[in-house]
Amino acid sequence: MASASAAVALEAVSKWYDNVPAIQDATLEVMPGEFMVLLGPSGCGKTTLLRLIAGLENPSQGVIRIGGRVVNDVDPKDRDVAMVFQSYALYPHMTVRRNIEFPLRSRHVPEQERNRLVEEVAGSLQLEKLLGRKPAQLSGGQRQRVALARAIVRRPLAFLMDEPLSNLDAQLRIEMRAELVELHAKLGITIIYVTHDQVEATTMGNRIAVIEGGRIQQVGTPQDIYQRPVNAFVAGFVGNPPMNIIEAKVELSGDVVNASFQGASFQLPADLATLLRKKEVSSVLVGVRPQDVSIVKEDTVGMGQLRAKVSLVESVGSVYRIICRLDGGGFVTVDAYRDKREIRTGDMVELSITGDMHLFDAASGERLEP
Amino acid sequence: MWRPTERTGDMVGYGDGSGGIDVAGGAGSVGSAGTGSGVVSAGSLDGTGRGLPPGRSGQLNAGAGRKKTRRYATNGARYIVLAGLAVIVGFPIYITVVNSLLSSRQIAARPPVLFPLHPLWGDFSAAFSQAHLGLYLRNSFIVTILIMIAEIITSVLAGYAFAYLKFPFRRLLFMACIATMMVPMEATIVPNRQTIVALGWFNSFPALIVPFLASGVGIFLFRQAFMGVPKDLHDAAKLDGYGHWHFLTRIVVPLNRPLIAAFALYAFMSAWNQYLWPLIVTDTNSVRTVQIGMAELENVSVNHFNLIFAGTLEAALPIFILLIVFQRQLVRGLSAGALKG
Repeated sequence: MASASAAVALEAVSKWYDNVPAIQDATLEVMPGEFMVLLGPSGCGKTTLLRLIAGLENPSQGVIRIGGRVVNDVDPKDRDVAMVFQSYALYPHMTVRRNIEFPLRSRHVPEQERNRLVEEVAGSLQLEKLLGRKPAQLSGGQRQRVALARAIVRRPLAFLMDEPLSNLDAQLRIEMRAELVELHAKLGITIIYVTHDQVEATTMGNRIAVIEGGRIQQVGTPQDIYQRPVNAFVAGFVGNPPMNIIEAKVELSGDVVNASFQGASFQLPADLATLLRKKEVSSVLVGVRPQDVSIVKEDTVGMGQLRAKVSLVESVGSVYRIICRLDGGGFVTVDAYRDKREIRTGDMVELSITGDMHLFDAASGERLEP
Repeated sequence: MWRPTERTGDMVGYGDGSGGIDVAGGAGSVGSAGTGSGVVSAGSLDGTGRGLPPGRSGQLNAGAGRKKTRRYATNGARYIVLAGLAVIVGFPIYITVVNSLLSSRQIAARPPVLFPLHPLWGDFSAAFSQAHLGLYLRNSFIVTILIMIAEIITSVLAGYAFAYLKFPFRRLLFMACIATMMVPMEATIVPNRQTIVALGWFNSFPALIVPFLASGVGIFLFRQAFMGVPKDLHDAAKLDGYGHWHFLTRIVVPLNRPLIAAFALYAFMSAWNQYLWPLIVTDTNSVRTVQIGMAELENVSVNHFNLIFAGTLEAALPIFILLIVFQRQLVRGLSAGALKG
């Protein structure tokens, strides 16, 4: 059941509602057959972007292409894209069969062919036995599958999915995630998938576009985005638990550049030091992932750089998640292994940065990189 | 919320528990969620379906017994009240039926006859022939059915336009539609009659039908209902290749069938029961409707109450039939609604 898949491209697309910008200058190229995830917090504009691609909204500016064709003035039905909605949007008065074949009817597919297609799709999504039921008689997961079947059956150029898993319970969500990835591999179709769940984004997407405030902040593979976030927002948004971000002053002393924070200071790596010296940045945001911070009790002889008090210790499966309040205010999350189990709430500890350090300009939030 | 098949003796997993009207299982409990009838097992007393640990079931059995007795008592009281109300509503109808089968003298008898031992069926055909009821009924049917169909069509279309389409002065026009509901018919009846006369429609069916082809109530009703159809369904239909017309006919109308049925009934009744307007725009029997016929029946058979009662029943019969036909749709309308995720 291979389908022709198409590239989807946005060129400087903007959308305003009554002078309020919802999308600003969005440029994005989705390759044919790619699984692209639009990731962002609620209200960031990711759903609007999807609706613009579907044709349910018209852009105020910019060009949208599907399969190379400019579709700005093309009706949704003629764009040849299918959408899966968060609410599934199944027609409640129709049986599963009628729901699935509904898009085929509008295209006047002959009955025999229609039945064949419906049964083929139903078979691949394990819906054969449910074809006679109404949506109200289905479970959440089954409804989700019917919505997928309705989208697949007409073999669109691209799939648009708007938080399709967010109404499912946790276990089912994990299963459906795997099923969707499998389906994508099988059909080889372009998928544009909107979610606010970074786990979904990082596990499913070939690439992720992180969106905030109506702007695309970064587009890249999940590894790219995790390892080299382009700004402090992306750094704080992607990763669970989020990256620790501390504002620090830059102090130049001879050859050494230190970042100082409320009395504590730590030396920055040489390449970063050169960059800071060159750019004359006076204040930076230091980002460190929780697993890149080491923690020791204050009374153990250590080389800790930051003094802190433990506010909370959570056992999260394989690690202990320790949340510390810094002497100078602010919290730092540390993911520690089991050997740190002697650390308890209320203990004074020393923290040091052992792994990668990300630096962002305190004024613009942009990543500073040699 | 009538799902007898889901009843399993206890109330685990019953319906949505949202406090609708529970008519299943004979107890007829109204309102509160999680009261239901049948045996309440100790394992589900918390009403959540989670059940309780086995050790606690013993102490709850006594409580369950007391609850059961109390519920029977409340239900009994409810039935008594409902039965009383049913008598109040049903008695005038019953007495009309009885009187239509009695002679005039029996009707005047005191104490009144409450059961016709020798029913006189001839009154029905007499009422029919003496007061031209056949002709009036035919006229009423023509007028009422045309008005009902037209009102449904125009209200559904206008309601859809107000709910889904964007056009200039939409709000203003909608306000104007609602405003028509505020003006009593008596206020417009004279100028309307003059218009009808000026159009040369006096004594004609158009005079009886045309002024009622659209309905402010209907437009308002359908606009509100259509706005309740989830927006995602509209978007999904657009992507599935359907425009406004098909979305209306294949999704919106089927989803609102119970409401449309209820409105049809309402439109039928108001058109059927019209009296003043047909009276002032007609003066010949050939186009007059049954309600005027009823008034005439009163004049021609002053001393024959039995005929008046028989005629009244004949005039009301179509409404009864309609109620019976639409009853299932109307009841279904209470529980129907678009599916949420």
